[in-house]
Amino acid sequence: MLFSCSFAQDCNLKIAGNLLDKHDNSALDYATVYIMETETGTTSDSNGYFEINKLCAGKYTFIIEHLGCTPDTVVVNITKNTSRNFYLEHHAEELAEIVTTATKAEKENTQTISVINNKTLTKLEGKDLGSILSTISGVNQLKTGTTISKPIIHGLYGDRISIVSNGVKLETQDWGSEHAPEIDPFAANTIKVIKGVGSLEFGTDAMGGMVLMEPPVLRKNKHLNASVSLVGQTNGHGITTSAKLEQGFKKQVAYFVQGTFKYLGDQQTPKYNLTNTGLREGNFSTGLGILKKGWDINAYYSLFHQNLGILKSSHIGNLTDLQNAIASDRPLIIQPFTYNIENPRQQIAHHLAKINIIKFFKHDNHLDITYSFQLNNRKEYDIRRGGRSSIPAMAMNLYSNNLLASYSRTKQFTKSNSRLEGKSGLNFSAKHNANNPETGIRPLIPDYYQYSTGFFDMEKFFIKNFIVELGGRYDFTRFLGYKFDRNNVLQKPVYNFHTYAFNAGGSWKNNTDNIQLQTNISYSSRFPNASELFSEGLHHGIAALEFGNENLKPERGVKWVNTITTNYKKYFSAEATFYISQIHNFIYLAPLPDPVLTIRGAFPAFQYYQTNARLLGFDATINADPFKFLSLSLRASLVRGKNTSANDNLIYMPSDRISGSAEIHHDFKKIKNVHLGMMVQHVFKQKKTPAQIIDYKAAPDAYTTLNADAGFDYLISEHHKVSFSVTGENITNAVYRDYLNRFRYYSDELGWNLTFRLKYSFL
Amino acid sequence: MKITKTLASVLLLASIIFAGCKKDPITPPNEEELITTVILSLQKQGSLSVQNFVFNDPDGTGGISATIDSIIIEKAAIYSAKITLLNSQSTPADTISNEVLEEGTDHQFFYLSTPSNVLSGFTYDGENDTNGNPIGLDFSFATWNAGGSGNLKITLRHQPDKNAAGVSIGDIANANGETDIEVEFPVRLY
Repeated sequence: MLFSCSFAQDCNLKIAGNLLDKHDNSALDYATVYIMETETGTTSDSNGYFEINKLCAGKYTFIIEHLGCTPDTVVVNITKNTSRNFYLEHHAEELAEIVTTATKAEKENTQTISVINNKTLTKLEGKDLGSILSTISGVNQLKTGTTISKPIIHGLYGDRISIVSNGVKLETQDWGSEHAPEIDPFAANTIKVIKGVGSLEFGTDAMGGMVLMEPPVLRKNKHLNASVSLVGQTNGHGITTSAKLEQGFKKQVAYFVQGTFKYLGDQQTPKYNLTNTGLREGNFSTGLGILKKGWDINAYYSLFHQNLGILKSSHIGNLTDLQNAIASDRPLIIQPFTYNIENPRQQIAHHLAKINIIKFFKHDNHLDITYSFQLNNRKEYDIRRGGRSSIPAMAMNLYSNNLLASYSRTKQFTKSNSRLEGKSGLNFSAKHNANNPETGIRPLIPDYYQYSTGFFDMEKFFIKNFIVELGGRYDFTRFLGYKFDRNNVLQKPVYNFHTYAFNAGGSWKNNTDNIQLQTNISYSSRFPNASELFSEGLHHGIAALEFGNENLKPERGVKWVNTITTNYKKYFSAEATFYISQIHNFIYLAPLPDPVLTIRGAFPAFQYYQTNARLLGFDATINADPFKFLSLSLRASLVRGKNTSANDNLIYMPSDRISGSAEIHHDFKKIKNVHLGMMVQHVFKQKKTPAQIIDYKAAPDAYTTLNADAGFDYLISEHHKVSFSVTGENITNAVYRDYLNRFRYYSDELGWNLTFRLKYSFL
Repeated sequence: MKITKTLASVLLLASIIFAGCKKDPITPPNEEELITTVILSLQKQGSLSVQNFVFNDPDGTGGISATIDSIIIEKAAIYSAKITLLNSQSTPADTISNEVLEEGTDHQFFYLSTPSNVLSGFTYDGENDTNGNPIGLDFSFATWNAGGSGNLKITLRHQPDKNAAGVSIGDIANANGETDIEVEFPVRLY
C-alpha cells in the first residue's frame, strides 16, 4: 500500500491531465492538485490543465480542490507516464469565497478577513472562542472573570458583532456582557473574522464585524476520518476531551459526529485561589449530507451545554460591599481548591438544528435554502434567601426560527476574462423570548416576540486584478414586548424597526500577487435590543442600577476599512489595516445625575442613552521566515473610541497592545512539525477612559506576559498521526489585571498554566 | 418557473412559522424575596408605649424613591428595639423577618450611629441562631444625655462570617457577606 521510493526504479514519471466539472465538463481553472504521500502539488492553468513530474512508480493519493467544489480524493496507481482527467462536483458553497476553505480565496474579497486555520486551532484546543479569536490582531476579549469571554472586534462587541456558525447566525442572549457566545470551538474547522459588515445575508447589524465558524465540509465521497483530542491543564486541574468521526460513502452520502467534554475546577492567580470558578461543559454535534443529481442536502444539529461558577466574592449586595471589595487587594472570599460549583452560577443549553438544501443549475448557479431553529435556555442562580438558591434567579428561553433563501449566480465574460458573481435572497425570522415566572424575581428583560423579514443582494465583479463589490439589505422588524409594570399591569409596547445595510468595496493586486489593496465602506444599522429598551434592575457585579430606555432609535453606522497586504516570496508577509467608523445614535449607558435610594442603600444609576460615537484604529501583522527553520511574527493593534457628542472617551475600549513571537521548527522524516516557540505580549495601560462615567477603580497598569510552546506530529503511518504539544501561559507568573475584565475590581488575572495536548488523527 | 414556485413555498412556510408561536403570555412576577419595608419599633425602658419608624419602598428597587421616617426620641434614656421586615407587594404582606429568623445562621444585623455618641451601647437581645450567635432582630441602645441629632444605620448581612473577630459583638468590619439591607434613619433626641 505504502508509497515507496527505496527501490531502484523509474522516478521520472509524469502525470498530466485536465480538471473538469462533473456536470458540464467545463474546465476548472486554478484548482490545486496535491499528492498526500509526497506532499507536493501544483495548480491547474486557466484551461484546467495540470502536470506533475518526477514521480516514482507507486500508488498515490491525489487530493483535488477547487474553489466552491467538494474536495475529492482519488488513488492512482502510476507505473508509466499517465494521462488522467479528474472530475469534481462543482458548486460554490456560498457567495463569497468567504465560506470556502482555500486560503487563496480570502484575497478574493474587498473586506478584510482574518483566518484561523485548522493548524492554529489545533494549537489552541481547549480554549474558549473569545480567547481563540484574540490571537487575531484587532480582536480583543471582554471578560467576566476567567471563564466568560466575549469577542470584541475593532472596539465593538455584543450585539454589534455577529457570530455565524455553520451558515446560521447564532441567536443568544448576547445583550449581557457576562453572557459568552454558546459555541464549541472544537466543532469548527476554520474560524474567520471579517472586520467589516460581513456577508449581508446574515443581517444589517454587524457594525463591528462578523465571526464565521465553519465545520469541516461534509465530503460526499468515500472516506473515513477520525480524531480524538485530550487536553489537560494545570491551572484549574482541568481536562478537555473531544472526538470527531467523519465518514463518507460511495453513494455520495456523508455524516459526522463530534463531541466535547470539559471539566475544570477553581483556577488560580499567582497568589490565591479563585473560589467558585469551575466549569463543566458538554457539547455534541452531528450532521448528515446527501449529494444527488444536482441536489445537495445537509442536516445538522448541535447542543452546547455549560455550567459555570462565578467568582464568589464578585457577588455583592450594595455600594458599601463593592467599596469593601475594591479596598481589598484580594477577593474577600478565598477558599481552598475544589471542583464544586456553587451559586452564583450560570447554566446554559443552546440547541441549534438546521436543514440546508442546495439545488445546482448550470454554470455554478444555485439556489440555497436554509431553515434553522435555535433554543437558548439560560438559567442564572444566585445566593438567595429562604431556601430559594436552587431556584434560578433568571430563567429564560429564547426560541428562534430562521429561514434564509438565496440564489447565487456566476456570469463569465470570456472575452474580457472577467466574471460577475451575485447572490440575492430573502430572510424571515421569528423569535420569542419567554421568562420562566417561577424565578420569583422581576425579570431583567421582558418576554417578547420579534418578527423580521429582509431581502438582500450582493454583486461582485472580477476583472483582471480588480474586484469591485456592491451589496445592500433591508430588514423590517416588528417587536412586541410583554412587560408587567410596577403595578403588575401588563404593558404591550410595539415597535417597528427599519434597518438597512450597504456595502461597497474594491480590491486590487499586482500581477505577481505581491501587493493587495482592499478598501471597503459599509453602512449598517442595528435596532435596540430588549435589554437596552426595557432592562430594569440591579447589576450585582458592579453595584449599579440599570434602566432601559423605551425611546431608543436604531443605531446607524458607517465603517471604512482599508487593508494593504504584501509578501515577498516565502520570506516575508505583512498586513496592515486602518479603519474609521462613525456611529450615529450609538447606544450606551450614561450615569443619571442622582443615585437611587433603595432598601440596600443608595446606588449609582445608569440609563441607556444615545450619542454619536467615532472609533478609529489600526492593526498590523508582520510575519517573517528568514530561514527554513525560523518563523518570526509581530502583531500590534490600537483603537480609539470617542463619544463625539459629549466630547468624552468611550468606556471599555481595548488598550493598545503589541506582541511578538519566534518559533523554530523542522520536519523530520516521520516526525513532522517539531516546534519550539516563545510569545511575548505587552498590553499598555488604558489612559483614555471616560471622564463622565465613574469607574470605581482606575484602569489597571500595563502588563507583559510570556508564553511558550513546544510540540511535534508523529506520522505513525500514512493514515495515522499523533500530535503532542505543551503550552505554558504566563510562565513568569506575572500578577496583573486587565482593563477589559469586569472582575478586575475583585481579583488578579490567572497565574501560570501548563496545557498538554495530545491528538490522534486517522486520515 | 421553478424558482417562483420555490419562492412561493418559502413564503408559505414563513407565514406558518410566523403564526405558529403566537400566544398571549405570562403571569405577573411574584417577587417573594423582595423586602419593601423596614419597621423599627422602639420602646423606652419603663414605658409601655411603642413608637414605629418606617423605611418604605413599596415598589422595590427603582421606580419611586423610598420614604424614611425620622426617629425623634428622648435623650438620656434606654430603648429596646425590634426590627420587622415586610414584603408589602404580597397580599397579605409577607413578614420577611420570620425568614431571617429561620435562617439565623445566615443573617446578622449591625447598627451604627453617627456621630457615635448620639446612640450608643448597642446590645443584641432576643433570639440567637442555632450556633448561639446573635441575629439582631431585637436590640437595645442608650441615647445621649446631652441630646443632639445624627443618623442610625441598620445593616443586614447575608452569609456573614459570624466567627470573625468582633462580629458577635456587633463590629461589621470583618463580617463580609452580602448586604441585604442598608437603611439610614435620621435621629433627633429631645
